[in-house]
Amino acid sequence: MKQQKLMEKLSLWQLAVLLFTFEIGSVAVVGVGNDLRQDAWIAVAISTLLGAGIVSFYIMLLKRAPGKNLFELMTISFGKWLGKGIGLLYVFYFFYIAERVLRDFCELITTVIFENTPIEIISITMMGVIAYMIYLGLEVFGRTGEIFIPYVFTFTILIGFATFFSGEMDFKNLLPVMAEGSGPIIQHIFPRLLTFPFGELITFMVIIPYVTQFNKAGKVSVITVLVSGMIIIYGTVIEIVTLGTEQLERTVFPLLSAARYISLLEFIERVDLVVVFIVMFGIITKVSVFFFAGLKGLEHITNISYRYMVLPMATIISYGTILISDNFAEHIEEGIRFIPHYMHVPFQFILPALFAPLLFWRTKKQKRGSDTNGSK
Amino acid sequence: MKKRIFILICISSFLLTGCWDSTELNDVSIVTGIAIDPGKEKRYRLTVGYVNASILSPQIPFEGAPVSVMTLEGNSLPEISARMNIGVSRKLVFSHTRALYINEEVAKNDGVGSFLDSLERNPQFRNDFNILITKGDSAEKFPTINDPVERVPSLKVQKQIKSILKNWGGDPRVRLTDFIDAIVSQGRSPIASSVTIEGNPEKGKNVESNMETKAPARILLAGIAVFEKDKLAGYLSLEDTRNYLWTQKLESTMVTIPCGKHGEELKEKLYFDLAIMNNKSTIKTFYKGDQPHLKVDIYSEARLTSMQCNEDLSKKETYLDLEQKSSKYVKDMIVATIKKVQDEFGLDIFGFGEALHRQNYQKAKEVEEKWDEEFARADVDVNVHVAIRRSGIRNKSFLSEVPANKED
Amino acid sequence: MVTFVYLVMYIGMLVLISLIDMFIWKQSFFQVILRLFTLDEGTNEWLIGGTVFIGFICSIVIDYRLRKNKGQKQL
Repeated sequence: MKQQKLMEKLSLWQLAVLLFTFEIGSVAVVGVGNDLRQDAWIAVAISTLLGAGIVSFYIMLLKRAPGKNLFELMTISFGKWLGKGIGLLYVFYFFYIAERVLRDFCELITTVIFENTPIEIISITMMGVIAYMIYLGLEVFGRTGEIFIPYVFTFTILIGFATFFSGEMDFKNLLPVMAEGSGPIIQHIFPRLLTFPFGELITFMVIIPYVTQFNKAGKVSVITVLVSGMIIIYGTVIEIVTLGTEQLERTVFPLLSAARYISLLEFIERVDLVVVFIVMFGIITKVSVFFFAGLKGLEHITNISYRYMVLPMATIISYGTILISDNFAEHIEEGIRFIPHYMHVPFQFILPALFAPLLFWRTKKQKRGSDTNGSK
Repeated sequence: MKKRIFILICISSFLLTGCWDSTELNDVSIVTGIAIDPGKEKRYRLTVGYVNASILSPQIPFEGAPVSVMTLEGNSLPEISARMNIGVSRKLVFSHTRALYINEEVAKNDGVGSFLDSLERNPQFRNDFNILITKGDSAEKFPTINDPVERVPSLKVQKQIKSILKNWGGDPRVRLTDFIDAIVSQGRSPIASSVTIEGNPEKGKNVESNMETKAPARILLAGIAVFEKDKLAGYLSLEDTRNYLWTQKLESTMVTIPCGKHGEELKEKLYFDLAIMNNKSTIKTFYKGDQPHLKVDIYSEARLTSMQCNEDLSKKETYLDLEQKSSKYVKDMIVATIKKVQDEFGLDIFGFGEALHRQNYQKAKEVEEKWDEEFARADVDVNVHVAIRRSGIRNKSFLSEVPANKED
Repeated sequence: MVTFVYLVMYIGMLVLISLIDMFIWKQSFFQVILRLFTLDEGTNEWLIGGTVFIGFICSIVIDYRLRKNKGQKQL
């Protein structure tokens, strides 16, 4: 088929856009570090730095074999069959996280805007949009990001200013700093904050190889992670100073709750829908990235172009979105008790750390082999 | 072919969804005021006042009632409001609620916590309505008192509160989330404002009352209602409300200060007035040994608005003198309010506990459980500095230049 | 092949979800599976069931067309 031979290329700017929206997407829905009360922003700041480190580790792995994505790297290091098997596990992981992220968004929509609409419909329609976008390819995806990023960025910044000028911010809420010492912060950073949202960037190991200027991709993604980390800190501080620590602990969707305080000149009011817009685009990006990464894995395993599998897999994801939990409390509990420890940590840190030495060894041999061949 | 299937699925998904959540403007009534009374048979008795939108349009000449009320009994607010349609034609929308009147009986006996939760949980309710405890009359009368200027009673109350906050400060500026935060917080007791009806509420119900120049009934603000957790403990006067606000965040106010030295009784009662403009207040709580100390630093800028005293305002010494007098006077006022709260209620409505929490976390953790007792026995220290900047468009008062009285 | 992948993914996702549910609810595997498959009356779970079924049909159709194309190429 001709379609499948379309070149898939992302520009550096598009990569940065995707990374950025990916980072702030889920964070804008559920917020991070709400348990840490007024110290949440410190934890975010630390984990941003660590996150930049993680990303550069992923990039370093990719640089060993330019043009190869995560699944191909695994085949290189583990051999054909074991590599494909672990690849399949990654596919499950990516799809599962895509389902969770989509569920976050569906919960937001059904609680705040569409109270009577069944959650199933929202999941199916969102997945329809995402499937169509992925079907058209990575380029379309990147360009969609390019179109929306100005709005997402300015709205995020403006929410802070608007709440400030509405006089709803109380900077005293940031005190006392680190009252309980650094213990809770460190516990919170690992494994929860480090894996979500920063460790999840492992999905970009599937996307970064398709960037046109691969050499610069590393620098760009580290900078983007730092920038988006700053935006997350900004958002967290807004949440803390607007809502106060007591409320922050009780609220389900912090940024949305904070935006509800905005009331400027008795004219700009009830702008919480802006938050929903940011969240919607963030979630579309995030689910798409996970979905695309999973599809690429399937493509690698079966040698069939992923375009054929977009539709069936999209239905599975919208199905799983509903199935993963019966109610919101279960969804959150899974997110706190199970996912970070048993899914994020193995797939984001342990497996990459396992195959990194193997990869180095194999690529070294290959390189040496090609060198000797050349000298002959 | 694949495209066709795709299009088909897209179309079918649209057909399947329809519009679950569409509501036409013609099908909703906007609720502006909610009143909660103790029920006779069930737990609560809820009254909602919803706007008769067509009456409010400027094109149509004024006729009919601007709002209409409906009362029902039930055990929880969401249940009652969902059942309202047994008597109301349209769906009730609560997102523009302006005032929540709570009967003092409910607040005293039942506590307000049980229904505040449903308000906080519901995304329809914004955080911009006022919580008002009704003194005297039952709460259901409040959403019915007509007002010729604002027409919608609850809007009138809200505007009234907004205006008094700007000019004098007789409302504690408490919103739903502040209230709930204070209930949860160990270092602050919740407060709300209270309202009463002056006049005859039965007459005020009638739209005809808008024709009269002197309204037969009027809703008045009546100071702070102090809560212990979610139960009403008592009231503070309007003066105390202003003084309370002075320690928190006061926009502007007016104080009248006697001319004589403090404590000294003058033959004639002479006063000077200050309009307080800019306020900065910081609250500090600390322990000296085992004794808690509450410290409030207040810095206010003032403008002189009336002068009955016989003093020369063109001299800078006079300014200093007046500043000292007024600082002392304001200080005594605020100390009296804090002492009163300490003695009468023993509830920390000022947030000194929260200040301690910020300033000395370890100590705050220690005394958290018995903070209200600690507050009641604490030493109070208020520092006020009033800076008088200018005196209007005159310097000396003409009174000082009136020739001496014949009686002398 | 697509149908095969579809089935693998479907069953795999089910197993994964039920494993997590087993962890969270501390139930046995069969209880969890039973819970996942009971369609609650009155909810709209039939909608996603239908979606998944559409996905399954699609994967069969895609498989069929892939095979046909391959056959044509070989001819």
